[in-house]
Amino acid sequence: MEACATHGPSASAGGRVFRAALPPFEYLAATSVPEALRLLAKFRGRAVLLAGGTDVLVQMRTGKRVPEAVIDIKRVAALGGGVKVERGGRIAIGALTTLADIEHDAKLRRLVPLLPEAVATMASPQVRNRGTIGGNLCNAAPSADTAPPLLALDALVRLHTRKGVRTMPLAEFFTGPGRTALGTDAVLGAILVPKPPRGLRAAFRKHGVREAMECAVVSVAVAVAKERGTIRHARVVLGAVAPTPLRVPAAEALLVGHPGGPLDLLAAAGEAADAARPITDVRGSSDYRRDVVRTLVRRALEEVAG
Amino acid sequence: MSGHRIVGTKVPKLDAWDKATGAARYGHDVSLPGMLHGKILRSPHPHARIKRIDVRRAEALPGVHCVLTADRVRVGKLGFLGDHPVLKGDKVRCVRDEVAAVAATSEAAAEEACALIRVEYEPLPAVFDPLEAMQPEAPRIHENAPDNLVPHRYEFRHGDAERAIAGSAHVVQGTYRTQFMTHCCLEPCFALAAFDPAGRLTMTSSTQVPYLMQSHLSRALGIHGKDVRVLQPTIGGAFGSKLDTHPYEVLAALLARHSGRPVRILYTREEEFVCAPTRQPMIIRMATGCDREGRLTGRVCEAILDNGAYTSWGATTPHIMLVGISSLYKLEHVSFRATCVYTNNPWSGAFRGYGNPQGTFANEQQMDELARKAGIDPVEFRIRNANDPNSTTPQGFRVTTCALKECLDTAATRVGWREPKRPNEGVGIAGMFHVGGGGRVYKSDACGVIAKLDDFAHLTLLTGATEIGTGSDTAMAMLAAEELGLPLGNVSVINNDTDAAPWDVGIHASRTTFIAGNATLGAVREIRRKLLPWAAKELGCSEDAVELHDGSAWRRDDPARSAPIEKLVRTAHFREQGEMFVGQCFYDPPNQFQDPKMRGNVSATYSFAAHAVRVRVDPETGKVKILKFVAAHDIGKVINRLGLEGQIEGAIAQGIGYALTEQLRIDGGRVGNASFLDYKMLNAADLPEDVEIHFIESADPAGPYGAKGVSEAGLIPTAAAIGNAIRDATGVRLHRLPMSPESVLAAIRAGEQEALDSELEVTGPLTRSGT
Repeated sequence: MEACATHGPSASAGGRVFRAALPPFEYLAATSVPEALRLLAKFRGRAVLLAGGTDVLVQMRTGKRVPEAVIDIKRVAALGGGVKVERGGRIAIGALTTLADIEHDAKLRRLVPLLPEAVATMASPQVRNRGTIGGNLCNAAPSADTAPPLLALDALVRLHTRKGVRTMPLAEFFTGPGRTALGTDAVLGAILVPKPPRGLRAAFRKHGVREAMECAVVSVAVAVAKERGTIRHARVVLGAVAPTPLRVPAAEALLVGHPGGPLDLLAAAGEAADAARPITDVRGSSDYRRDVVRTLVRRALEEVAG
Repeated sequence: MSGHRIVGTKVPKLDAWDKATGAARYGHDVSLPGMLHGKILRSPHPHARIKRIDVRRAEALPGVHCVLTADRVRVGKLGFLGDHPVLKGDKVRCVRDEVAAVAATSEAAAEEACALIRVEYEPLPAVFDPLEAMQPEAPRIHENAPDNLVPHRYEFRHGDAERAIAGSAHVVQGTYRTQFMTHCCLEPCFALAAFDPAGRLTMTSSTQVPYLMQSHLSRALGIHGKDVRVLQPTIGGAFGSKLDTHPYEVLAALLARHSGRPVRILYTREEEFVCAPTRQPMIIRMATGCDREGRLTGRVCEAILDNGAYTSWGATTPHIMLVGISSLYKLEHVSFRATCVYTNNPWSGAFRGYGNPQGTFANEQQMDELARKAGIDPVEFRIRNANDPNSTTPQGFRVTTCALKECLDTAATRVGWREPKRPNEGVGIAGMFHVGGGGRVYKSDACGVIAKLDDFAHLTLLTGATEIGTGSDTAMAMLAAEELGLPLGNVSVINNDTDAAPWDVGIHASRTTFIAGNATLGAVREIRRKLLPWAAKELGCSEDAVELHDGSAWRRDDPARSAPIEKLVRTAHFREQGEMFVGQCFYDPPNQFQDPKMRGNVSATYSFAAHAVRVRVDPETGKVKILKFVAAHDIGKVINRLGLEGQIEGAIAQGIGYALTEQLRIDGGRVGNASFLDYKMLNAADLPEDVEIHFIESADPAGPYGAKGVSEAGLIPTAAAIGNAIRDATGVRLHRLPMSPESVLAAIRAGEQEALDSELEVTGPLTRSGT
């Protein structure tokens, strides 16, 4: 999908020229994870990984990214594999799985409908056919639509590095706008979604001006599991209102142990609004975003906890 | 239906297949052998003096053929006031200003060369707010405009509006602000210029004014008009943006002249957002009064337009803005003043509706408020004040056909005006008045058509009337086919070459189906006159007894007797002293150029419409959802129902964007959302599912088969109708476009805004304290 960031001008000393041509770069297609890692090491941060290309090419065209090399990983089999349910109920999603495949995957729709529902709000069918879930996470836009649902599902990510494979919580993966724990020498291999707690109900809300082709002004994912009328498990995650997708433990704490009545939900929504640290940009002011966080969190909780 | 076989049916546009299959050839698809790629270096500053330009490194770059700066070319200025240099030499006045241009063998080399040009600027204080620009201490943008006012004033007075308002039973006052909007043509700007060895220029262009462009290029380049030929490929959208000749087009010609090679300039999408003309933002202060019975008494309006740094047609939009303000309803007393102010913002041009959408946003919201104050239903209030057929308005517009009351009634009924509403739902309506029979904004409002019928009964229409996607070609072909009794497939339109086709003033003012349609009828009727004697002879009857349809001539009293038209043509052609079937017409409508007091019957007829919408407003996010949209248009006569529906639907979509989401975010003279990602043009998924379009056929005596112009009409009342619906749903009225979720929510949170309005005075100086 197109980079969810405002384009910067490409000013030169004498003024501004609008470039149509991509700047020159070396194109390399990796066929295996070790090869991709070797190439990354060779270019030491001056290369970019290409999967669907729906963010990378836009960023290169607008001058936001000027890599020396583009390493195409589309054909690296170990990064694909689609959606698999492991023994024990954990779901593994290959990083190269397209957004369209996630949207339509029968297993995901049955086990964790939150994710395909969120993905269906992204960009357009054409872009979803091309863009990958790994790409959306690695691009690390604060407004990335796959992030809040995955965080609400306690997802983990599997990274390939030259030292081997390691797994980390997705919550630790995002380190800033456009920045992740991958650094310049690792490849995202898969997203792991633990078996959801029994009775988990989850909802995704996205606020934007348009119904499609829209970056979230605010997005919200909530997940709640109740036992005998009391909330035992709660997740409240916000998108587009902080440098990274943001889990709000304070809001979750206000829910757990409570029945989820209107006042509980209002309090949690207020906590979420307080936790949001939105910026003011062309998409909305900080105050407005905070206001919308309160509304969307409350509405999402009403749907799943009421 | 009055016995027409083709007119009034649903016909796909002539170019629909080509466009749908990708076969259409747009400007970007055209290239010439040896062609160079042109690129423009633009100012990084909104206002600065140019101290020095060093192009040596750019010229040394391999592949670069030509680098132009202001001191290297002799070129005239652009715009109807001639205030716009093609290349800026002494200073730059906005960030899109052209400082240098390069032609090179590749686009990449041209871009690289631009980046190698060194320019020393001395930044100057800049001004971006027209009200600030009017202050005495404001930075001066043009030397010859010390007050930053564009030397082109608009003032209209009819009766005594101030007194009429003072004596009114009810008065509504308000200040309305509209935004920068851009056309979003799917095809970004391009120009391809090539000189032949004799020095004759061929300009391939998506211009809306090919024949005026000949003059513009002739003046700018100092060559004779006969040495300028304009070709138009398929045009990927214009909406008014190509009504003027812009610097990039002249630069393509200059680069071609200096390099001796064809040169093509293509904008990138980002460049299109930053550098294409805009719809001019306005600050409109308006007051309207009515008497106890709800009859309008008078209206006072003052508008301030942000002209940007240079003058294009944007500065003339008050002409058309006023038509809706003065003439949508019966008004005895009107006072209007408009001032265009230079700023260091991007300059504005023509855009569908030409000032009327801005004016209608103000006056149709005021009608709503006034109805509330008078305690009269807003629909009834409008019908009570609606114009009648065969009346004359304060500006001297002779309204002949007028179905405004029927439009209002239809729109209100179909939207369920009186039906119960759920919480947060509201309904709103707005009417619209626009030119529908051309618009004499130049000395000529004419169009020429040459029609030729060949031996196989194929009819070719040669015309200067440009097709920019409105479906005017198809309408012309349908009119010709109907008149000559030919199948539509027998008609083609050639209208892309100033060397071949006769003159047309350009495509604007919703004029083409009306004007070129009448010219078409004139031309094919000449053929019909020539053909009928041959048919009569063949059928053994009088000319009066001949009917033409389905490709044949028929004896009215004996349907068994017919003769194919192609056979008649061949009979007339292949003989000694034969005859050819060519007709021509130069149609100039019976309308007038306005006098300096803004009076004169500018159009041969006028179009009316009403839009009614049902909305639901989310009271916690401010998001407006349109549940139902009804458009009722007095179009005179339907020519192509499918094309007409498309025109209205498209205009509604653009109008909803104008109302709710579209805005070029310009801060400090810089565009902050130069992409479709952040310029919120609406998509299919955003548009209401329930859209009804009703056509009311008032059968205009001046129109071709009774038709009036319609292309702009669907945009004009849309924002006001939505604003009125938001007011109905929330109790809050917005005075600023776009009515974005954030601004709707802020208004709801701030509560009633009307209290603010009453604090504003009608005749005092404009202040920034308005809503």
